[in-house]
Amino acid sequence: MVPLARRMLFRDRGRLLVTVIGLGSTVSLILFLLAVYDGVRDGTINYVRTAVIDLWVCQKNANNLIKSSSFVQTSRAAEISRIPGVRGAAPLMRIITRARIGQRDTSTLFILAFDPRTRIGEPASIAEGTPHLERHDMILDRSFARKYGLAVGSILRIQETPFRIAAISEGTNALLAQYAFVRIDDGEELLGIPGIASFILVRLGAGANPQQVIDAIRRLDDRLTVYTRDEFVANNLAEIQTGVLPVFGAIIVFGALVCGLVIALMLYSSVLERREDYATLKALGASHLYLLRLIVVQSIAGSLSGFACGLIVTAATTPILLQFAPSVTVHYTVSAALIVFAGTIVIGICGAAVPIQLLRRIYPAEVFRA
Amino acid sequence: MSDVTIAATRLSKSYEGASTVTAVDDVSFDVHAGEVVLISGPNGSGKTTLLAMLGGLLLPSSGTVTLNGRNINSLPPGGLPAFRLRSIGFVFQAFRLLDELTARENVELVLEMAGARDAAIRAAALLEDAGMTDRADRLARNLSSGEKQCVAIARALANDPAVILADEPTGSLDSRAGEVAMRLLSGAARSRGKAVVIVSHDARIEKHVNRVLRMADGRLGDR
Repeated sequence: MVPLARRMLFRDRGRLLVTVIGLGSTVSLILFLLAVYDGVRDGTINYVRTAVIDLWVCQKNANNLIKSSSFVQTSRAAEISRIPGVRGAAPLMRIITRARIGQRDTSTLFILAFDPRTRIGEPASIAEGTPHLERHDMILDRSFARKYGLAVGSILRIQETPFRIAAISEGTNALLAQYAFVRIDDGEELLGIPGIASFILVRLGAGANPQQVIDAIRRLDDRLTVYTRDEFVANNLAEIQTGVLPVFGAIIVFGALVCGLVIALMLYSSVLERREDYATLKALGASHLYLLRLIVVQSIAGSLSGFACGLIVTAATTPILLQFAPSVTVHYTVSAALIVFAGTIVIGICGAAVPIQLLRRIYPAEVFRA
Repeated sequence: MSDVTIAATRLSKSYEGASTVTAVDDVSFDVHAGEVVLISGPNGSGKTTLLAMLGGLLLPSSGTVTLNGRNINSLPPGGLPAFRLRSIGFVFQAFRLLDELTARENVELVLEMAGARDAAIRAAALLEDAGMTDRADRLARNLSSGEKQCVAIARALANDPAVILADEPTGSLDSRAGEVAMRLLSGAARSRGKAVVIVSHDARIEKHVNRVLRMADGRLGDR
């Protein structure tokens, strides 16, 4: 096969290079946004998904950890733990606040206070340090610690109370805020309202029927709502998707449009410049399908070159970006890359539409122009 | 001479505007297989418009063009390119080779467009006939004008068309290269039985042709 499409594409290397870099930058932005979204999603639900909790008991109408208010009496934990099939129950308190490091305020922290005796509610992934908390000890998210240069043994103040970092946790970064974990008694001290928690966390015994336990908890107090772990994960995920996904989606769609316009512009100017060559091909007898394929192949090849460039740009720039924004967690996934790859091919095909319109207006008799 | 290969019958082309301009006015002639016909005349006489209509690149205002008995103006728009590809070879003053392809690839391209399976072999043979074997793998943009026209003629012959239409084939060549190009075109008529129509105002061509048709103000006169 005569490689006409490739030769036409590579004829003006400068234009191709600018196009590929433009596409690559946009593809890199899209890949980065998808990775940030996956990081936010995983960071937000990871704690709920991985902490050893079977049932979440909330105030009625509260259904997630991140964006709903829930108040329950801590005394309910003891009552629930007496229900047949329950292995243990403990309160979990959520406090949203800022910390101080020296004279500096930090960004917002999601503090979760759990019962250190039962350890129900402690994070599943401890990167360093010990999860056994003494009074005024804290487990802090790794991204937050990195952002403020904190390590195990460092001190930060919350509402004037100094807390020592006893451990660093992973998978606890929700982008807008990071999680920290303290003892329930420290949480009560910070909140200043004894006897009140946000949730009651339940662990079931081996062979227990979850539905029977849920029904028993509801009989105990009909102002309570109970979710299984899977339901609670789904609730939190839905909260992220409705809150963050549209913003990310809009930026990604805009990025895809920019990609399409860049490739369309390159090919449009190429066809315009090569008008006589296309007229010659028409005069010699090239079919419309042949010419269509010639344009689409160039468009897809240009787009895929941009995709490849985007992968390289992403690999090169991500470590630098994370240096400047250490609280951002990115999760690159093969599925996201495949989606962008497929999207690039679609954009390549769509980007060919504009030059194809121009091609229609080139008449074969133009070949006689001197 | 054998049967009529290409025939123009009462062919006219007018352009409507503030005033109507008639580029070709009631032209009729035919060309036989193996014949070389020169249409000569001054600039603006309508030669190129006539050639474009003969090649199906321009629709006549009236009249018909028949090629091997088939009215090419009655072909559906989608069918005309394929018909042109297999039945008509073009040679242009400005060569119209694709610069980023080699000489061989330029010939191979039209063979591939026609679905030829042995495109590479046939392209090599055509370039050999045109004396271009040693230049076959050079990019078209690196060939001399004479070499480009030889490749263009090889390309025109690639799909074994019945008719070759040449627009000022020597217009951009020195006399020696022009002589080579004309020998190739007249050879195509003699040895391959092609009907060759040449449009030119280069008087040096006349010795290579069987017939000269004079054109002036869109009308044809025989000589």
